[in-house]
Amino acid sequence: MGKKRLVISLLLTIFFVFLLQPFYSTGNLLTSFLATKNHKLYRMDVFASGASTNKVELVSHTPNAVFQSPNWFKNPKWRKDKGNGSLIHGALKSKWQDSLIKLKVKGDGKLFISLRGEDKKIDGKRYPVLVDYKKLVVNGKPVLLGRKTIWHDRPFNYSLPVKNGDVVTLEVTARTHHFRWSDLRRVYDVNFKILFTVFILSFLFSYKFVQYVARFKILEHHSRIDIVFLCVFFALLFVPMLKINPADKSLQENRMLAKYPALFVSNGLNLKFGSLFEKWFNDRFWGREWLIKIHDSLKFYLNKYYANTKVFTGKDGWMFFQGDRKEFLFSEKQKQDIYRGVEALNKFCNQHEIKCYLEVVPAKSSIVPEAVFRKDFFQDAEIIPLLSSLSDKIGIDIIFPLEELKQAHKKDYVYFKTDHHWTEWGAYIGYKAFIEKLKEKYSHAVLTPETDYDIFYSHQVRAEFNRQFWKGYQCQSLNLTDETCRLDVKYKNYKNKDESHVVLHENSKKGTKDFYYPKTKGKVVVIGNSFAENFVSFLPYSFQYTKKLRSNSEGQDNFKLSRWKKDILEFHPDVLVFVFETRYIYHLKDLKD
Amino acid sequence: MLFSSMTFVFLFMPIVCGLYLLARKEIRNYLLLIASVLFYAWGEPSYLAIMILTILVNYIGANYIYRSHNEKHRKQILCLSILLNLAFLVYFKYFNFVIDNLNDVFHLNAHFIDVIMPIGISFYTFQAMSYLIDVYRREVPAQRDIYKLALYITLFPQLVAGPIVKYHDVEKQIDNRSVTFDKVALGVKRFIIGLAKKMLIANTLGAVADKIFALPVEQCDTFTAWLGAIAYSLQLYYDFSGYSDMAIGLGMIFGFRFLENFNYPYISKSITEFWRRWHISLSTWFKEYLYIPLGGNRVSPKRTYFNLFVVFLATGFWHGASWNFIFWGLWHGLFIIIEKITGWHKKTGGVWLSVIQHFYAIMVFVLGWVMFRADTMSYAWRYLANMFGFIPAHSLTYELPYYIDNLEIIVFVIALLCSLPIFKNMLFLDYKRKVLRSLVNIWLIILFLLSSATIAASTYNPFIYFRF
Repeated sequence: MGKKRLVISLLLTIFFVFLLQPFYSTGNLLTSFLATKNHKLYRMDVFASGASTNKVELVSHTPNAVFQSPNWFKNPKWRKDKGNGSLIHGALKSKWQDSLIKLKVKGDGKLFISLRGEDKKIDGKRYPVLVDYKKLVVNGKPVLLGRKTIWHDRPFNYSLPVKNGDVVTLEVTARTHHFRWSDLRRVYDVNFKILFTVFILSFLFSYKFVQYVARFKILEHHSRIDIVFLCVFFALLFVPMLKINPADKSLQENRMLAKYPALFVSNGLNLKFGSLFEKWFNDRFWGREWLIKIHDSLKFYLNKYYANTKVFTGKDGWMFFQGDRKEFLFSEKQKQDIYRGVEALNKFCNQHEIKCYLEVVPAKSSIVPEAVFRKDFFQDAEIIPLLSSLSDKIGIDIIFPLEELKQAHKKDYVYFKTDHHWTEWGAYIGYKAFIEKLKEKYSHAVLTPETDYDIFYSHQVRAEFNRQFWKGYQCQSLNLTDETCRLDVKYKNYKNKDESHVVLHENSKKGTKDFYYPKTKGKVVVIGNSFAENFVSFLPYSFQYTKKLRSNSEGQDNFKLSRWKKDILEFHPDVLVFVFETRYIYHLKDLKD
Repeated sequence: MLFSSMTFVFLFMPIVCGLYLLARKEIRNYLLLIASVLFYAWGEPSYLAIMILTILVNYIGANYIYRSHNEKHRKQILCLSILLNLAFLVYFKYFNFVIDNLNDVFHLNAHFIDVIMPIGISFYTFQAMSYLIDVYRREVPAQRDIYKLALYITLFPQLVAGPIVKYHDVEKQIDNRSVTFDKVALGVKRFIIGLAKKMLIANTLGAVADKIFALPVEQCDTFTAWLGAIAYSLQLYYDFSGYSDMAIGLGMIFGFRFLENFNYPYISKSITEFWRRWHISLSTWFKEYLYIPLGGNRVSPKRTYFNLFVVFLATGFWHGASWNFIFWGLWHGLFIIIEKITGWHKKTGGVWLSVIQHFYAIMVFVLGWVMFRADTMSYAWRYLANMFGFIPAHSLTYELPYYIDNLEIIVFVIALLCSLPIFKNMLFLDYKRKVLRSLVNIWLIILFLLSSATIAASTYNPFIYFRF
C-alpha cells in the first residue's frame, strides 16, 4: 500500500465519516461546534417555588455575573409547582473563574438551583453550549466539587428548603468547556460501535476508490483535471441523500411534508411506493432550501414576470395571487345556486329583524391593473351585473367598493404590494362605503371620520394572528428574502385617538372578538375571512357592541350559515355584514343549509 | 422514474453507478439488470409483467428462429413474434384511437379501455423487434442467456426515451465491454450536458410554448404565434436530445457505446438531411427494417415514393395515437418525396441558395412541429393560419413579459446558438490544453448545480391558505 494512497484514503475516510454522521450521532458535530463556539456565558437558573408570589431578589453579586427575571419564568406553565424564577448569567474564560451571588428569598417553599449552559437554538433546534463547572457551594455547603461538563438540556440540579426572608449565598466556579473525548458520547450521543463500523466501511470504500482512480492514472496517464472533476461530481451526487429532514411540516411552504411510505400495505406490496417515496425524498433531501433559494432568486432577479403555482409578480415589485383569477361567467344553474344561498341569508335576517349587508372586496389586480402583465386578472367589473341582480331580486344590500378603491389607490396604497389583502387605508374605504350604505336604513350608524385617528406610516400594520400582511404571503410563497421582496414600503396606519373601547372577549383560535364602546349605539356582527380583520378594526367606534365571527373561505362548508346561527341569535345584532372577496362569490351558494 | 427527478439524479444514479464501478466485471450485467428492473417498476410495478412477457416472447421466438433450418417455419415464427410484440403496443397505445375513429366513422358506441400506456413501450418494442429481425437475417446469433436478452430490452439508460438501440449494435458489448476512465469521464460530461439541456433550456422554453399554445388562437397575434412555434421547436430538440445525451452518457459510464441520436438537425438544408440528423436511431430503424425490406430506392421511382409514404406514415403513427402525428409524418414524407422528385436536397450553389435551402427546411419543420404540438388538428390549422396573418387577433390577454422575459430571452439566444455546431468539440479537448479543459469542467459543474437547483425548485409547493 503506497503512502500517498493511504493518506488520500484516510482523508477521504474522514470526509465520509463526517458525512455519514446521522448514522452514529443524533447531533450535528460541525454545526454544533460552529453554533456554540462563541458563547462564553454560563447560566444558573434559580426558581423559588411554593406559591405564585414566591420569588428571589438579588442582594449582591460579583461583577462577572448578571441577574435577570424574565417574563417566561414567572409562574411558568411547564412547571408543576407555582413560583417565579430568575437567571444568573456569568462570564466565562478559559481559566476557572469564581462568582459569588447573594439572593433573598420571598415566601416559604423550595429553592431550585440549576447549573446550565446557554440556550442556543437554530431553526428551532437546540445546540449544546457546553460549560465546565468545578464548584457550587450553597450557603457554605459544597454541593458540587470536581469538574462537571453541563449544557442546557443536561443541567446539574440542586434544591433546598427556604423560608421567607432567607438569604442564600451561591459560590460558583466555571470556565469555558475544554474538549474531552467523552463529550462525543455524552453530549453528541455518538454510538462508537456504529462509528467504528462506519469508519471501517468508509476506509474500505475510500481505499478501493483511490485504487480505482489511481489505476486509471497509472494505466492511461489521465489528467488530474478530469480526476478532480469526477470526484467533485460523484461527491455532489451523494450529498442530498446524506441527511433527511425529519420535520413534519414546512413553515416556508405552509404545508405538511410527505411521510415515508410503507412498502407493504394490507393487500400486499404497495404499488404506489415509488411515487410516494419520490414525494418523501423530494420534500426532505439535504440542501433543498438552499437549492430552491438559488433558483428562485436567480429567476426573480432576471425576470420582470415571475410566477409559481400560487403567485406571480407584476411591475415595480407588486405581487399577485394566482387565485385572484376567476371566471365570472356563471351558468344559469350556478347563478340560481348563488341566489338561493343569498336568499337564505336574507330570509334569516328578515325573520330576526336584522339588517343584512354583503361587503364584496375586489381583487387587488382589479385595483392595480397597471402593475399586472396579465389582463385575464381584471374581470372584477364583470361581477357587477350579478351583484345588481342579487340586490334587485332578493333585496339585500351589497357594497362593492371597486371605484372607491380605484380612486383611493391613486393617492396611496389600498392593497399591500406583496400580499393580496387590503391595507388599513383600503379597509377604511370599504368601511366608509359600508357605513354610508347603512345610513340609508339605519339611523344609529356613525361614520368615524379620519380626523378621529392618528394616521402614521409604518412597514408593519396591525397583523392578523401570526400573519404578517406587510411581508405578505406572496413574498413568502415565492421563497424570497425580505430584501429581495423590497419590503421598504410604508403603509398608512390608523390609531383611534379615543382608546376607550373595550375588548370584551377574544378567542384567537376561533378568530372571534367582541368589542364594547359606550359612546355609540347599536349592535353589529361581522362575519368574514382575513379581509374582515382590517375592516372590523373600524367598526367598534360606530357601534356600541361589535361581534366578529370568522369564516375561512377555503375548504368546504365555510360559508354555511348554520355555523354562526347560534352566535348571531344569542347576540341579536341590529346589523349583520358578511365580508368576502370577489373570487369567493360562488361560495355564497353554501349559505343555504 | 425520470432522469430529471431528484430521486434519479441524487439517489438512484449515485448508488447504481457507485456499485457498478466498484463491482467485479462478472456481476456487472446482473447489477445493471436489477437496476433496470427497479427503474422500470418504480412508478408502475404492475407493468413489469408486460415487460417480462415481451422478454419471454422474444427469447423463445429468436431461439427458435435461429435454430430452425426450415425457412417457412422461421418466417412464421418471426411474423408471430413480431405480431405479439406489436399486439402489446397496439393494445396499450392505439386501441382507444382505433375505437374512437371507428365510433366516428360507423357511428358506433364501442367502449374505450381504461389503460395507461406503459412507459417506453414504443422504444423497447422496437428494440425487441430489431433483435428478432437481426436473428432472422442471421446477422447475429440468438442470445442464449435470457438475462442478457432481458438486459438488452430493459437497459434503463435508453428504456424510456431511447435512443432505440439495435441489437446488432450492442450484441458484443453486452457480453464484453470495458469501463475506462475516459468513458466514465466523457459519460458524466454527456449526462450533465443532457440534464442541462432538459432542465435549463427545454423546460424554460417549454413554459413559453405552453403559455402560447394554451391560448385561444384569436387571443394571440402573429408574432406571438411564431414565438410559440419556434420556442416549441427548440424545446422539443433540447428535451429529446437532452434525454438522448443523458442516455448515451449513462451508457458510457456503464461501458456501452450507443450510436448518436441527434446531429444538429436544425442546420439542415433539406428535410432529407433533417431526417439524417434528427432521431437518427428511429430513422435508421425504419430504414433498415421497413424501407429497405419494402424495396428502398432500388425499385421504380413510383414504388420508391410509395415506400417513403409508408415509412413516414409509420413514423408519424409511431410518435402517438393521434391524427396530428399522422399528418405530421405525412407532412415530412410529402417534402421528402418532393425533394426526391426535384433533387432539391442535392443541389449545391452559392450562399443565397444555401440561405434559401436553410430557410425552406426551417419553415417545413417549424410548421410541422405546430401540428405535432397542437392538441387537435383543427387547432393546428387555425394556429398555422394565424402564423401567416389569416386570423385577426383581438383581445390580447397578456403583455410580452408574461410569455418571454429576460431569462427566457437569454435561454432563447443560448438555445439558438447551441443548435449550431459551435461548441461541438468542447468535450474532446486535447489533454495538453489544461486551462481550457479546467474551464470546461468548472462550467459543467456549474451547469450541474444550476440543473439541480431547477430540479429542486420543481419540488417546491407552497400553500397559501391551508395550515397543515
